Amino acid sequence: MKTASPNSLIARGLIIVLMIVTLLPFLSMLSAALAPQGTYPNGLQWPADPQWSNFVRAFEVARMDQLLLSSSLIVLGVVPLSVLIATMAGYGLAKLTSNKYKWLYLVFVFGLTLPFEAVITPLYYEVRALGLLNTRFAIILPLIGLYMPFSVYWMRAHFLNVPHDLTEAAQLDGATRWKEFWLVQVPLARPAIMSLTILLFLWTWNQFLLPVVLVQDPMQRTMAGALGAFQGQWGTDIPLLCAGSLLILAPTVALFLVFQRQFVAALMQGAVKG
Amino acid sequence: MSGLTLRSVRKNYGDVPVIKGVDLDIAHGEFVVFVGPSGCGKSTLLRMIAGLEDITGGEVSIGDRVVNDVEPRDRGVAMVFQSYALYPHMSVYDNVGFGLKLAGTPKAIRDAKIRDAAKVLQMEHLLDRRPAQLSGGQRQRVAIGRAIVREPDVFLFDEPLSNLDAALRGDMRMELARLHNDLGATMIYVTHDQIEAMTLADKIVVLDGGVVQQVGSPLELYNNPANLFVAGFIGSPKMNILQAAVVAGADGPVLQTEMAGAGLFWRPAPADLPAGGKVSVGLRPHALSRDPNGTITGEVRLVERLGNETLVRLALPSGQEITAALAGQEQIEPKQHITLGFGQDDLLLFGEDGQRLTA
Repeated sequence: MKTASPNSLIARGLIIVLMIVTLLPFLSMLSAALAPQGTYPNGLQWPADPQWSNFVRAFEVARMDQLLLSSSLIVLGVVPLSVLIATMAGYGLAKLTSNKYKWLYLVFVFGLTLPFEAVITPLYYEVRALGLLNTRFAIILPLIGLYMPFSVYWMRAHFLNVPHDLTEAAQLDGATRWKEFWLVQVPLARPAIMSLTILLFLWTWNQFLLPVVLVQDPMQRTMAGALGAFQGQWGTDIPLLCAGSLLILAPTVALFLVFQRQFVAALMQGAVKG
Repeated sequence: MSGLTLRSVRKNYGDVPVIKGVDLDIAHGEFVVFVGPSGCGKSTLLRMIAGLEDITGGEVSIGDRVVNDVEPRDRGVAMVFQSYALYPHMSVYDNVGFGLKLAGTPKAIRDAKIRDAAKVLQMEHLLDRRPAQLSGGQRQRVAIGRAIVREPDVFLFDEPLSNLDAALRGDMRMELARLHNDLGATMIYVTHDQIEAMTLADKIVVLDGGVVQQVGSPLELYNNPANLFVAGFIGSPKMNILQAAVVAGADGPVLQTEMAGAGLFWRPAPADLPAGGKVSVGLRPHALSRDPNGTITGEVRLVERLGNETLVRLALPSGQEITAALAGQEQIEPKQHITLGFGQDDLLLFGEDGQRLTA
């Protein structure tokens, strides 16, 4: 059998250490979540009598079913529309703009430099003026706008790499711009669209600040946003809090397991294209 | 019946003119080849006919219709790109049928047309494949199939064979010629390869610097080039060009060159050439042959043996090098001195402005 070189042994050792560092908080949460009610679990300590019923109780008191529904509604409101608009805008900026209008793209790049926290206060007044405060639209509409710089940048980068000959071939084949977009460009953009969809889903699902600031009713928030309210309400019941947090995490973890390959591809794409 | 007419067609990129007024008549069913060096504007001209480039000035007509402002899809043209430009996400079948589908052709007719085209191009077994699963030659067939099914008035080819290897290029060249015979359609073909131009064309258009240098049949261009550029561009190996002076002789002016070391006098110059003028003398490599009584002597620098002929690079005493294509397998070695002869009628004369002089 081939023996591993010292270098790869060190590498493996480092990876294992990293894995432990990453997983430790989750394991600690799990052990805490299984502790009997009313106790204060002490770090990593597997309880003698694991209380799996804590999860059921957390599910009930946090009204997890409603939160799931609320989160799903927000994701459905944000992601398809953002992806659609970004795909069209990316195509337009990559293929349809003449040099005269190249600066339009810089506006989007400028949007990338805006820190999210800097716009939250003006956003509050804006949403209030629109009369959307405390509705899911208070989360959906700003998020679509906030995602545009990155999404447009992402899709434009993809469309720039599609050979111009394909556009011309489609034109000569009799396609209008609209048909060329739907029948040639969009099918070719599928990997980029898929990656963008996954990233936007993740960011929306984990959206915390925006729901907490703009929506009072936890049942109208995302799951991550609802965690804030849950924490306020049950902050002293550590096992319940941990069980609730783990439940809130579960859907993203499940999704990651299903779409693992696409997730990694999406993140790698970002790494290469910068 | 769809011929094609270009009238004073011009194209500028900003202030830079790239097509400087092209006039051209192409009859229905003609196979016309645009040929010229890189950057001469041949592809731009083709793309202007296709409608992929705006026309700065002049008029492009297909049939009786001026198409300057007509969208590419409404011009009745089909184009085969150098990169093939196949849709990667569609099967060969869908690639070929895409144009028909967009035109709303009923499915049964569409299917029949796609299968006909596949039969003509011998690619019936490839219909279910994706472009990525095809070789270069097969992709080119698909691209041609896509053009055929649309039954366009004019076929446009933009250097379609330049991505193929030499053997395949030869095969595809013959297939294109056959296709042109079978379809009888007007075809315009852009290439920088003069062998493709000579073998395929009914009519060659030689372009340089955005200007048409000469239009004619392949042999017209070979035998009677209008200027030095065409003379140098058409024919392989390239025509030898020598400088000569017009000097006064007993029976009128004669041409003098410095070929054999001493001054060498050639036939009487055209009568309208004043003594003291300068001309360029063109001599095709294939016009030269070994002749002990010949007028050209030089030292052999390089020998290329092609089997059916022997190419010899010869340095003249003046230092200039010329190429001779000698028939058969000549036993010649570098550094050897040889003497070559040619027929007086093989000389072509060009004036100082590069235009052909006829005696």
